[in-house]
Amino acid sequence: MSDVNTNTMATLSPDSFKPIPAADKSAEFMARPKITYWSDAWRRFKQNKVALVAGVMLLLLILMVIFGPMLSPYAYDAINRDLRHAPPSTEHWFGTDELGRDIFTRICVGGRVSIAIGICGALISAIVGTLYGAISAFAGGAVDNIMMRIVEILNSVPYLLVIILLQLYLRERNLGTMLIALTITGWLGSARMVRGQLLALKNQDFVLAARTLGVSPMRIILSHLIPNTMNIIIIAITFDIPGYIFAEAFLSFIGIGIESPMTSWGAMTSIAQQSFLFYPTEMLFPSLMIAITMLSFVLLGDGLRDALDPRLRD
Amino acid sequence: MKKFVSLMLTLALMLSLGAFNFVAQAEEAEEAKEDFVEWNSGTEFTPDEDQTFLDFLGSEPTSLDPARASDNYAINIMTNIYEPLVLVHTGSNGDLEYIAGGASWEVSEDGTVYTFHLRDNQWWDGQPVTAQDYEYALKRAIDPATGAPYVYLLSDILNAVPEEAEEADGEEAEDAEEAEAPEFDMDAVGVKALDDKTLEITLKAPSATFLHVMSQSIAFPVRQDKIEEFGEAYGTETDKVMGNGPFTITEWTHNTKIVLEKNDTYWNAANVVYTTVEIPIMSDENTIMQSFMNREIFAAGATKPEWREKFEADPDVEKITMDNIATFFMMFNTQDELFSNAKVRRAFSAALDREDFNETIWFGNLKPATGWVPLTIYVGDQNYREAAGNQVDALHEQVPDPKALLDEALTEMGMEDKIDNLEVSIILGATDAWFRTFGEYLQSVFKEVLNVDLKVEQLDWTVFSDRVSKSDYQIGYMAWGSELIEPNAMLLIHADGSPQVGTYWNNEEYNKLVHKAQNTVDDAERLQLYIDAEKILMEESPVAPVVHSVTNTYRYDFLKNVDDLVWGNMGYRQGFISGK
Amino acid sequence: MIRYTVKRILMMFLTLFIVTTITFFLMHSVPGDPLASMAKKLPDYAVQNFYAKYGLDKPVTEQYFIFLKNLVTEGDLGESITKPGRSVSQTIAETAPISAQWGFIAMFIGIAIGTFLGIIAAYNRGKWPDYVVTFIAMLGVCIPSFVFASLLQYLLAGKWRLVPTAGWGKPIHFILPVTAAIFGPIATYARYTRSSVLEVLNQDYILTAEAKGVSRSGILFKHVLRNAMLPLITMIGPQVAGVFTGSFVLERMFSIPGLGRYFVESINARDYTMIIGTTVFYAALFIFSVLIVDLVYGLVDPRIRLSGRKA
Repeated sequence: MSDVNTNTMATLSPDSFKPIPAADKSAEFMARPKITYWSDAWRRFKQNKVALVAGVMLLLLILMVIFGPMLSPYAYDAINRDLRHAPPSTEHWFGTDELGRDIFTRICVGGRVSIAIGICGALISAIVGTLYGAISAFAGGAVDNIMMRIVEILNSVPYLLVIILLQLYLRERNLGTMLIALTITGWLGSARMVRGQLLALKNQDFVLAARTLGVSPMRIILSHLIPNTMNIIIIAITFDIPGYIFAEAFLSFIGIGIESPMTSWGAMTSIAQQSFLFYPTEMLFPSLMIAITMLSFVLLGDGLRDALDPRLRD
Repeated sequence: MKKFVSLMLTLALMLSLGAFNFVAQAEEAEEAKEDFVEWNSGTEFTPDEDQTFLDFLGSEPTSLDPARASDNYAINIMTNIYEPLVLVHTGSNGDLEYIAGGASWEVSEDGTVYTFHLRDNQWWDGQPVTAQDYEYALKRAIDPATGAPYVYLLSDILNAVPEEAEEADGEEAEDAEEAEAPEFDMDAVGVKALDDKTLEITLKAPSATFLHVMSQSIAFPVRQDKIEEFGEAYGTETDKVMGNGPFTITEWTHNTKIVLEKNDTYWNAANVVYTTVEIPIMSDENTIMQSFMNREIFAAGATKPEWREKFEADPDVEKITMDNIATFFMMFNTQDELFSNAKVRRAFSAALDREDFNETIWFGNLKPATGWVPLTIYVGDQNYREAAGNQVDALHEQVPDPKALLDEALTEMGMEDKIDNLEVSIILGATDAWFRTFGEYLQSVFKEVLNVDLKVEQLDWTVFSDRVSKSDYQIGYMAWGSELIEPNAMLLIHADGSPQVGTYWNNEEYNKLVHKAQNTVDDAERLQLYIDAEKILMEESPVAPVVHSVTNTYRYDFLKNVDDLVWGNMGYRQGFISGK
Repeated sequence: MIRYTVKRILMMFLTLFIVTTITFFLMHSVPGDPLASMAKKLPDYAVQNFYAKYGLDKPVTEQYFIFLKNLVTEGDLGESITKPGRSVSQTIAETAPISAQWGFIAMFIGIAIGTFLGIIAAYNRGKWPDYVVTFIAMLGVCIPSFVFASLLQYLLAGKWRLVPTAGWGKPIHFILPVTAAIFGPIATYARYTRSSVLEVLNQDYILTAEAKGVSRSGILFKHVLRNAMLPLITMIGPQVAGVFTGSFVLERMFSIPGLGRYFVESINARDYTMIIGTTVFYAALFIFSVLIVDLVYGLVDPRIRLSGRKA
């Protein structure tokens, strides 16, 4: 070994080297065009047909709840006493409810509320939860301790009590206050989960490497830790959306959902539940809408998960 | 819904009893009744072998301590495990009749002294029931330290109300800190056991409702040694309660099930036919209906037309429809800027089509209101409503166009900008899905007729009453009932600023009329005073009566001889199963 | 480890104290009081008697100190206001086990089935078992429990009369609520297990193990399950507390005398002592199970260093 080295050294002279002009980058030429993390993810997502279909489905659904009421000749709150509990027909596609109101129109209007609560709620809780969990996990020590105690305190007060008390304070039950009530403790789960995931990642070598290289903590969180927890966060969001839709439905079921005349799928389901034994379709349609929305979000989430997981990159 | 209404009715009953001092005649003094009561007489008596009654309760009883329990569910159970001095049942002519329960009685000439002669009866453990037990129970209920919510029902009794409270009655007790528990002399209270079998109760003044109060749970007997033994926990478990009624309680799984067994030591056990009563506790309507279909319970009230059709198609099921003496109504806060104007209130009241309301919301179960005073109220022999006529129709005639009246009122008040741009809010005292539909119906009606945007606030009952008592609302919705035959209990609550209902409406002429009616003996004259008063009420519309309450009960026809009296307390003492 | 645990337990009491304090004052500051749920407009002297009986006539801060004193010195949570004579501790002691009974059965069956399905799905990724599991999971997530419960009640009790519609006390009463309640956990755990098993299967150490010739079942139990279960443990902790406080909706529909029903009823009736008692109970359970989860997490995941040791 040492012989070889000595020999090589002996044959080298300054003449063997010549400077390369700065402009000439050909030496650094890459065999493939550079693919960023996100474009790679998008490329892989496009290959996932199921997820694409789900995405299209969701888009249609959103279009329906936005434009559906315009297609329907009925107002969502128009009462028709002569046409109560009508079965589905060409006039009333989904039939009518207890007060003779057109269920299709109500589903569109209610869908706005449900989907808005689902998406906004999940996003708010994912963003707040991720940042909180990440900071807590990364900071560690006393900061982590205090932050987790706060989570524990908020978490240990029963959810329903918090919501009821909050509603008594806010005195309104519109979309905004419903979101506040639902998310005020809703983000805690994501925070705990992200923190758990990050604690595992934190001691891994690439983080250590980044830290050694002097990368700022914020940057480590944003560009290393969060992308590596992305799959968990995305799954959490896809489950949080129906979670919020359900939470709203539950509150409607016990009578503290969104205020009349506004409605939501949850509220419609729980009202229909009263006469479910006689008019199953009245409960079927809103439940079905919840189910389809859910299905789409879950399949979409699956697709995103596969696309976003850096460990699955080729 | 059902629970809510029954709560309201109890409440109203209590209030009307408390406020009632009308027929103060001593002439009703009754002869001592000692005759043996055969409760199932007059019915073909062919009981089955199996006499297990399957009933249900809509909610867990709060307690079986007569002084401290305050809900209908507890009263349902307590009625059957305690024996009151007086029982109320349907008399031979179909009217309410007071008969001797734990004791027969006689009344003094001036109507102020009641002497009760106790029957030979035993507590469950075999100890004899004594007059001292009843005395102890009444005094315990009166004792401020017990904190009995319905203590004021006993206020007819001599010295039963602390003196300070009596003086301050009606006035607001502003300095709550100074209001220490008033010094109270229990010995002065007009309840006294003369010997083991004789109880003497002295009243402040003759009272027509006193006997009724003696049949109520607040006057049920308790045993001093048991109260002392179990302390605060008395009445919370089967082994922490001691009764003397026709049934013993053998099982109480909280929030699930109560089982009563016939008590063979009861004085009239020979006439109690049911051997066991099983009472599951359930509140979900579908569950109750399913259970009734499966014959897991024998009787249930049904509101949904689909269930009613189902039950009515069943030849084994009979339907019992009873007019309750209660009115459902909307109330307006007359302290509110907008609703201080009578025209606004009239417009809102006239905007309601009661017929449509009843059909749409109650599926035609109840009866459209024809006035404030309910249907089955009498003055003397004259049915009040027949004499007073349909005052709701009169309102509709006077206000053919509610929208025009509303606009006129708004203009008058300088609120022209609010025409077609008015937003008002209604508070409802329950948060369930039924009330949600109710609110949405109202929203649509007011939008259509008055072009008003109605904001519906569904609150739980505690918050609802809080808001009403703080005058923090515009429109509210409630029920009010009375168990008295005369209209005055219904009309008095609107007098003198109506603090009980919470409309804060005060009309001098109205006050004068109802107070005058109170002291008028002549039936025809009194009737006219009531009618005039109700006219003012409808004219001024602090309340908008919507429907009169009706109870539809379905039960299997193998249940015989049930006492259907709304305010009766026969419980399971009467009735039997035949041909199941 | 021991130092860490002790520290955490001390923190637990601090947290409990804060939760109790917050709840106490929040509860007393919302409109409505327990008397309003019973009757309106009692004469003043009756109201005063009642308030004095429960100490509600005193200033809130004084009530708070009395409550704390009783709690600390005697472990006494007080007496229910709307259910005279029934102590809060006793009510919790009676109702929480009932919620726990059916709740735990549902939870364990749900977790067992869910985990099992998740593993099957992961091992058969993209094949039909995967789709079947995904479909089942989907149903469980898509259908609200009260819809599912109505359906069960209609079919099993109404149509076929196999089980009673509602009630409690006999084993047969478990069937409806447990069935209605397990679909949620099945769906959740199937999905989470599937994704975390998939993740583990991609790790190098699995490749290493395979290369070493470890048997399939050896890999499954020694490597895959142990690593894949980690995220699940964090989920179970908070749920344990939830099980004790029960599902309000199901308990109401099936007339189960669990804590969930009592709790919601007491909020509506402003039964202060009951609400605070339940909250303290729930909080204690919650914090305790989180503590246990953290300790277990530290034991099973060597990557995590519990901070007590490090600091």
